Amino acid sequence: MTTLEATIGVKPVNFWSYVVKLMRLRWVILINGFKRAKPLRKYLTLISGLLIVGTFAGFFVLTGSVLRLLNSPLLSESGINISAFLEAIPSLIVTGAFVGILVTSFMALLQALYLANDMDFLLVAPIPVRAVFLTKLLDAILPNLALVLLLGLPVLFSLGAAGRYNILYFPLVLVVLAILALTAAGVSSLLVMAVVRFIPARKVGEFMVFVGGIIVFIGSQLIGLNALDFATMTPEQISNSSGFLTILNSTWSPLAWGGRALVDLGEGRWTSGIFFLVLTLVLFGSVFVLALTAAERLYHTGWATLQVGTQQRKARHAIERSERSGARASTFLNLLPPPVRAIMQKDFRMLRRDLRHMTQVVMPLFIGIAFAFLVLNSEGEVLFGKGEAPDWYMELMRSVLVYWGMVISLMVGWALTSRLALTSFSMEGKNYWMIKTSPVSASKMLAAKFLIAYLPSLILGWLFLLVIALVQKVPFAIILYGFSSVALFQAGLGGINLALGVLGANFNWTDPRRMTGMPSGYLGTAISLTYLLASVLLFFVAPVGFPILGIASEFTGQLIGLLAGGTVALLCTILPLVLVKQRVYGIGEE
Amino acid sequence: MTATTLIELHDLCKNYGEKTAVDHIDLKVFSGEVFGFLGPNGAGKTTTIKMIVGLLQPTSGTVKIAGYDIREQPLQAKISSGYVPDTPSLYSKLSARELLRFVGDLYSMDSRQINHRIEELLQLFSLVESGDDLIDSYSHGMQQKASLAAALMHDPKVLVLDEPTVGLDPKSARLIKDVLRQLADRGSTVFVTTHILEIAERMCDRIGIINKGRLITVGTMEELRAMRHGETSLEDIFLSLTGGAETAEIAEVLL
Repeated sequence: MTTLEATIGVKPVNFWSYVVKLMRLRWVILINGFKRAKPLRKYLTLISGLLIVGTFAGFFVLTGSVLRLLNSPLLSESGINISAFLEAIPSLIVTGAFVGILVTSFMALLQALYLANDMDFLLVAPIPVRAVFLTKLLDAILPNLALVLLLGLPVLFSLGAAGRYNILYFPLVLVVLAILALTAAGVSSLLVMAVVRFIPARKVGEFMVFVGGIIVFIGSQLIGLNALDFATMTPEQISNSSGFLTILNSTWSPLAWGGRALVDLGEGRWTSGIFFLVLTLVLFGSVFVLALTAAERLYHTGWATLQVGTQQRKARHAIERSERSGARASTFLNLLPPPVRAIMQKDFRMLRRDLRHMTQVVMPLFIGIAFAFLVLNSEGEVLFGKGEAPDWYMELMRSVLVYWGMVISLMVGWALTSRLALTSFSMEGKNYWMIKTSPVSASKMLAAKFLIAYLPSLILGWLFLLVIALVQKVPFAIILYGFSSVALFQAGLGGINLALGVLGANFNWTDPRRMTGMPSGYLGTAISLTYLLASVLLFFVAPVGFPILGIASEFTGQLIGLLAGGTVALLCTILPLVLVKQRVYGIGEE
Repeated sequence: MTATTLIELHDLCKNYGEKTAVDHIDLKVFSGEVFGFLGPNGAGKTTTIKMIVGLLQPTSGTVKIAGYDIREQPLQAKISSGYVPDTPSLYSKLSARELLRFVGDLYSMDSRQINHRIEELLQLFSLVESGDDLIDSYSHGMQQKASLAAALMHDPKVLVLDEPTVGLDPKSARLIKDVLRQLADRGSTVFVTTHILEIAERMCDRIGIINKGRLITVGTMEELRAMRHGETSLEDIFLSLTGGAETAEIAEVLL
């Protein structure tokens, strides 16, 4: 201890105790969050925990069964070479874990290093910088690593159990996954700094939320639309696919070395197993240490925070462009009262310029595109019951197909209206004070927010309907009916979701996906779905059913549909908003 | 010219559950004066201000702005007031020009008047050059100035400011003080909170001190001095009224 340290009473503490202290801080924050959560959230957390354990156990049992099936003599007799694929599984999982953590920890590290605002506090404290960085890396990877372990460990352990692997295999699985995860996070931290060197952290964050949302959405749609049809695959195709996967297990891929080490050690091939294990530990350990050292140096010297680029000029150009496009829309907006116009113009600008909000708009557009592909792929033909079906059935199917386009238009608009209306007040965030302190009545605020949700959805719904109608060569009268029903339906949906948005307004968010609280989010989805189903019945049962049953003409059916569906839609537009009008004045006071 | 009451608080209370943040405050602030609202941290200054500008509903009591009850006639009351919060949370994806136009429209100002006023205010706060840049590229001081420009857009009779000089360079701080003085000289009311007692002493015509939710004293500097014999500076008066003097002694012992 130095004289100064002795004088001021500082006791020397080793590096790891600082890491433990910093990790304990995270733990305390986590526990405090749980302790102070509302009972409903606590129950949901506990249920989620149990579900995770259940998933782990389920995965273990399921993979065990799949592995037994893959090892069965019947499969070998069918000519499929599965043993190479089985040997490649650890390498595939290890590679997947590395790439997955590299990608997912980018956002977590961006948040931890630049957006969490605690770095300055930690760096001025008498704590080794390396301890701070290591803790940040651990913070970033632990949730993702837990997910990887949840999905990967049951497979790897089942593989070990099914192949009667050496006992050493099991703890080494954890060691290999941990070192690769740490290295991935280290490399990711360098990537974060390289990006932040050129683009401000907040903008990178907005972009990542946007890209993340889009990728998740497209991924889910692709799985739904193009799921691999294993039932129709030939043994050759399966062999080729497994052959492709074994390429990832090549000796020349450093990411495969960890997996190979595990299999070799598990099967008792000690020389090659130890060789690959040492190679993995030395290589990834060195990369991790280098990345950690470089990251803390770059951060500390200010290299990564000193942005280079032309952000200001770009921002100004973006504004000029948006001004020009805004001028075109302002003819309509000028008809509205100035406060309503002001809020609408401001919200449209925010939606366009803030990528985090843009995600909310783009996702429903993708739904529209996905549905459009489905409809266009059917080429306007009757999808069900061709040829020998009775005439009345064919007639019914033709009518259903004509009105099916309208139903899909409702669904496309449904996704956009619900999202925009539900989050219309919450999207104000901490800036809501500007509107609240200005002389704008609740009616005008509701009108502005309603139009912001309603108009884009209406235009999208109508465009979509028009395209489908043109492809299907639908008569003009039916298109007009479609336009009216879409307009009325969207209005009702806007009213319901806007009212729920007022009740569940939340201004304390950084991630736009958390703008709506759980109760209003779930309630909104449930009520909107009920309203969607009711509207489909009210608007379309009469025009489709009446002519087939011989009760009345299609036109009479349309009139009855408009009357029934329109009345409910108008009630849903006005009533919820009247009920929450007074509540608007109290938003944000809790 | 006779001074009219532009801010009137009567028996104003705000409770958060069992905690009383503002406790039966009675206060009148007149046209043409800069009123300094002082108090230690957590005394209830921001809560009071939020009730004055209509951001919070009082638990009981009334707030009148230019004669209009903020609860009964909120729109009329809000037309007369402008507000600058302690942290300038502004729409980061708007430019200063767009923000000011937005505010002008919220107050239903005429379009030509809006354009004229925007240029005037950007000029006043030296934001002409950066007027078309997005607010998220502004420094704290520039955001504070944009926030003040937004509050002045509709030329309010009552201007309420929560810590307006925090984080500003001396030149900007001086500009803001000059603007506030001029507003008061033209007959508006400026209601300002600050922790910088020198500013309050030099700039404010009257000072109110709040502690633990209660308004413990109101008056001009001379009146406050007369009330507290022997204490000449606002700092001494403030510390003796809010109990800070004892804390200072404890700090002396500790250090």
